[in-house]
Amino acid sequence: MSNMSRKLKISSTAYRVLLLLQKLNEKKLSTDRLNRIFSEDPYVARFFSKDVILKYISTLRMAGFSITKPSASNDYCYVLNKAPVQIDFSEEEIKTLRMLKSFAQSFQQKKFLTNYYSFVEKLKRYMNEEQIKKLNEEFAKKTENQEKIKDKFKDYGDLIKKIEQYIVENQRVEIKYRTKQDEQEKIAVTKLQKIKYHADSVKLLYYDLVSGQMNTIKINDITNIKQLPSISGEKQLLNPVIFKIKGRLAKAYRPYEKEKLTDPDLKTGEITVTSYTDDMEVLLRRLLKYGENCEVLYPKQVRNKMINFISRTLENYKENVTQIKKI
Amino acid sequence: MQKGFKNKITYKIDNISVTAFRIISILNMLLNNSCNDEEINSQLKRDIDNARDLSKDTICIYLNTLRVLGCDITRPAKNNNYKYILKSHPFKLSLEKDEIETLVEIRKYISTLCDWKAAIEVDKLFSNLLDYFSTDTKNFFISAKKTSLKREINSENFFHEIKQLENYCKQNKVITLLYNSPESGEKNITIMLDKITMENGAFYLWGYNEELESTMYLRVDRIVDIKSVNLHKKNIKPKSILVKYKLKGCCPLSCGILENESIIEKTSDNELIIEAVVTNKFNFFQKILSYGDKCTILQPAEIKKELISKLKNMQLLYSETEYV
Repeated sequence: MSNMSRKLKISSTAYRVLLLLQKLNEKKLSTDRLNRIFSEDPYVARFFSKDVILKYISTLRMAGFSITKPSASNDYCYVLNKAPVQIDFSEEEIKTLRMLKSFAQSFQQKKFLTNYYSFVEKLKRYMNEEQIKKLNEEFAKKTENQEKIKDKFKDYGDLIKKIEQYIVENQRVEIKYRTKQDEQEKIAVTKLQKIKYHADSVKLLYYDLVSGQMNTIKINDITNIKQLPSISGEKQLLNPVIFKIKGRLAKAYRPYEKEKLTDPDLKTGEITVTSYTDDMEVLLRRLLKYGENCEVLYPKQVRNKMINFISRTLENYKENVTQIKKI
Repeated sequence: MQKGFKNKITYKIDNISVTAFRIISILNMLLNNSCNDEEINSQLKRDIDNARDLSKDTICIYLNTLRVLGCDITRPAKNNNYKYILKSHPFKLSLEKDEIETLVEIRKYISTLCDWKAAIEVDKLFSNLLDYFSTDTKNFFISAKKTSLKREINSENFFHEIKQLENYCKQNKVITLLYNSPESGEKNITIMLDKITMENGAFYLWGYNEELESTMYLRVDRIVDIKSVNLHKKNIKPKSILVKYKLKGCCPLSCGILENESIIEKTSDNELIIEAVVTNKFNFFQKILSYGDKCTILQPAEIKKELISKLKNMQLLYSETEYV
């Protein structure tokens, strides 16, 4: 392509006008910034006066492009208000955009909503006025289903926002929590990582500074959360869990996030999975599901945990097991 | 979606580059349709007063200018009716990493809801938007999806239109399909369709297999072909087993009761007694095992016995191998 470019004869002025259009489509630009782009481009490689740039802008305006002139409100930049191409969205796609908005709202985190609206504003540049009107009408609708989605985690809104702030500020926090199984309240000194959303629950992923492990806790189990004085700088280590998969499961196994698989053993067809899970409880429940097709290899405490799970489950049937033995 | 260029170009004398004006007009044409030299000249005469015919060489220079900018324009050839076709252009949608991550996070959440219809709709939207993304945005989007949506099966890969399968399910049609089983390869399977579900990123087609006397759930992306659809309604009564089990330490909202299950008792010790109509034992046992020691099967005896046998095999697995 570069060889072809050297041989190609082009119209220099037209190229500069098109380059200006391309760059303005990416973001608003000042005259100085435009000149820098021109000087760095190998097909231009020089600066131009304000009058010349204005001539190029006029050409684009004459061709029908709406370009706002530099002013205090736009940081003294030229702004291309509409993209040179249009995207036509179907009615279904407009509804999907509406659904995405409801989900972004449901997360109760400012960042998701800010990012989503920013994405939509960029999309609107590629839409005609009729489509924008349809989209705005769809956004303004309040259907029962969309309201249900939007308000799903409303009850945790304040807590989620508080946690979001701690994460942004990289704060050490103390969490007090109690799960259904706990008789007493527990305390963890943590560095917060992420808020995770799964079906009907919101979970908090955190690094336990005492145990040095990543843990997950349901947000509705949190009884109190408070900021601690110092800002954390610890390195977090994710301890791997290694397990073996065999039988028909090994042929169809698809790795989860943060999982690595070995190639199947040539003789047995077994595969070994290394999982860097951040939610041990969820992982163990999944591995139990695999029944006799799965064996935890490492670490020892997780392997023992599995063995205990199985033993305790069998205890539920102790009477029955004894009866079977007698038979 | 259609590519489109919205503005009509007119011509005025002062302070504009006429050459640039012409090239924008040509770009406008190419965005809407393929075109040849004759069509280009006709359009230019409509857009620009007193425009003269451009020579082939001049048109070539103009197209090369667009190519150098980043447009991919085919050369006239027999296989494209001797027309210029704009295959791609640089006026693409650029998104920030945060914006992409938000979209991917939402899609990830939808997957946890097991809402296959919402997942399909979002996948369709993303797939169409992908054509309009800049190279950097496209690469980051694909990479973000690969990391966060690792297990998601791309619904674009389905042989058969999933909405049509849904219609068959509503009518409980008996169909024979060619299925690519990971265990045994391609084989024909005849089932009376029931429903479509989504779990852990994969789409499943459920139906009753009369021959095996069991409900099956097949991954939709593994369906290679639909061999036949039985037009007549078959009167098949799926065989099922009624199973009672106990769940400890669960409230009705959090225990994941399925549509074929009902809570028949709630004891004072925060235990639930649940009755399930089981049509697929494998799927049922997976669910029961995932509860660990919180769950006990009460009846029937043969199901209880089968689970105990599974648990003992699991126990044996750990006693056979020593931890090193």
